[in-house]
Amino acid sequence: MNQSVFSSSKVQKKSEFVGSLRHTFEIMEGKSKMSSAENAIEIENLMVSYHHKPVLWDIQLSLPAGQIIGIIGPNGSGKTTLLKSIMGLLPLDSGTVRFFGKPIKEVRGRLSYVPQRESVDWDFPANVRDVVLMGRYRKDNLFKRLSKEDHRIANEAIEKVGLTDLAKRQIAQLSGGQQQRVFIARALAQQADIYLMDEPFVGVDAATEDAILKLLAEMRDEGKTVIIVHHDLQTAYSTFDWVVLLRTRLIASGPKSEVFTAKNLQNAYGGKLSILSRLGDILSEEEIELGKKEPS
Amino acid sequence: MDALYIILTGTLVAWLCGILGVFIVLRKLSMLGDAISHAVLPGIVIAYLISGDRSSPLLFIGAALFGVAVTVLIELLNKKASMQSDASVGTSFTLFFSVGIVLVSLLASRVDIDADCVLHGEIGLVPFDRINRGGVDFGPRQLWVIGISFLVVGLVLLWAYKGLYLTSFNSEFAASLGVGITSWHYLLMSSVSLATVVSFEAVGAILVVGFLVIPPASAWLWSRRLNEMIILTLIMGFISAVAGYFLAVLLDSSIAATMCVVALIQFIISFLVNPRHGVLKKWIYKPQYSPHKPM
Repeated sequence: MNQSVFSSSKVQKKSEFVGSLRHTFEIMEGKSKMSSAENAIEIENLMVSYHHKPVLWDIQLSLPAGQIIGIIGPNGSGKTTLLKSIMGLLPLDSGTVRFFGKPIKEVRGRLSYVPQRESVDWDFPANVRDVVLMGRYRKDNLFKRLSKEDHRIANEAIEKVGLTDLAKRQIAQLSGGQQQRVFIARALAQQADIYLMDEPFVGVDAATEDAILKLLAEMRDEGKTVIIVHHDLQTAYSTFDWVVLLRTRLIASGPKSEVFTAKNLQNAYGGKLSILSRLGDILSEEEIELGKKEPS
Repeated sequence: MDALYIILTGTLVAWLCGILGVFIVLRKLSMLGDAISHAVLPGIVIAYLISGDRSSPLLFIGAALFGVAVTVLIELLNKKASMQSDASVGTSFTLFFSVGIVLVSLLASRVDIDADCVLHGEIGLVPFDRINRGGVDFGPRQLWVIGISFLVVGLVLLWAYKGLYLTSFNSEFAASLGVGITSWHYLLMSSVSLATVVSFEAVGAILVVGFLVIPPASAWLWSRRLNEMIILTLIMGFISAVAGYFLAVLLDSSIAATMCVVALIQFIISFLVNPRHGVLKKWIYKPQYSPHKPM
């Protein structure tokens, strides 16, 4: 097992080297446009441990702006930890995270974090609008009243997720999918540039999942960056533009067609054959696309 | 007139504890309220020893310090020593409380506080301890102390409403906005310490937990929004104080205890008939909505 991890990091280093070389050439040729060259998030030497056990090991990662990015890996691979470390919610052992080249303190207003739905008590005495309005809370307006503009933005967000009729309903009386939509609306109300979402499709019905996916695509088309922690490998390929494959270490990060290789998946999921066999199905379904190069 | 003073004091205790209790209950920290109400004892004794005056503001500072200290100790045992949270609560506050009791008995000759009074309080004595300045009677001292505390805590909560709302509902999200959740936690905890000290002379260290937890818990069962929960808590606190007083007269019993009993009766009624979780709701309400109605 050690060997496989070792060799994977070797491969990764090599591909990183090639990637950076290609990038250098692009810059030299003046091909690289400003928008595509600008990374939304750059992570360097990130290490996080829990009770002296490493959860994330030496993560080196650049995530492009204007894409829907999936963070994928087996259970306990550090996906949620990575998201929380990016948001500065966990103490880091080492490493830096920069957003558009700046530290989090300078760009907090441009970030939106959507925690797992299970992380809050939905029996809380609040209605849909109350929760979405929290998306307008800022560190510096916590002691002031929200403005009319704040209310308008919140109502707009509620409309976008199709909950206008339920705006005054207590959140305890919503279905799982509706609760998730409340969280998405709160994120929309934040009017951020980078959205970090932790498992937004868990416990969500198919119709809601489609609606959320459509919204995410709209957001991407407006130039927003959406980063999603996702555990379901089967839907990952169709959901994301860019994929980060994680297993404590970074296995691979890149356009989905480059990341979804048998070798990468083997490295991430190891001997979990049931998953791998399902993967075989996915890969064969996507064969045609895999052969092509991702249009840039 | 004495009855009025007692009822007024009881109402203010219920209100002061109730508005803080709302957030304690929502943050699932009810046992922390219990811990604080006991842990302030050594702070009071030491402050009393230094100042020699039972109405000295030093008492509040001493109590607040120890109240916050016990929450820090609980956090420490829980997080750093990986102790179970209920075990860390149990260990911490009994440690503080027992030290307080030992101090009281050691210094019994010099300190005019006895353990029985600390545990049970006596709201019936409130009208007799009066503020008298230059022959002018300003009314019961306790009523003033609790009234001013209610005003101060009420204003602080009004000022801190959004922050407490946000951090109580979703602390991770609050942290992602750069809001310091620890400072909000300790703001609440020090307010609870203050509320406990000013209340315990009247209702005792044990029943003060009842005032912290029972009315907000009953109100929670009915409320769809936070402001509803706060208003209902205030109403239920008022009813507890009034009805509790007359029940005590009727039964010739401890007034603070009957006030708590009335609060509990309200809780039992709420528990049975509230429209959300009520045990009897099936028989009372017709189904109006289904919580998982497909969209």
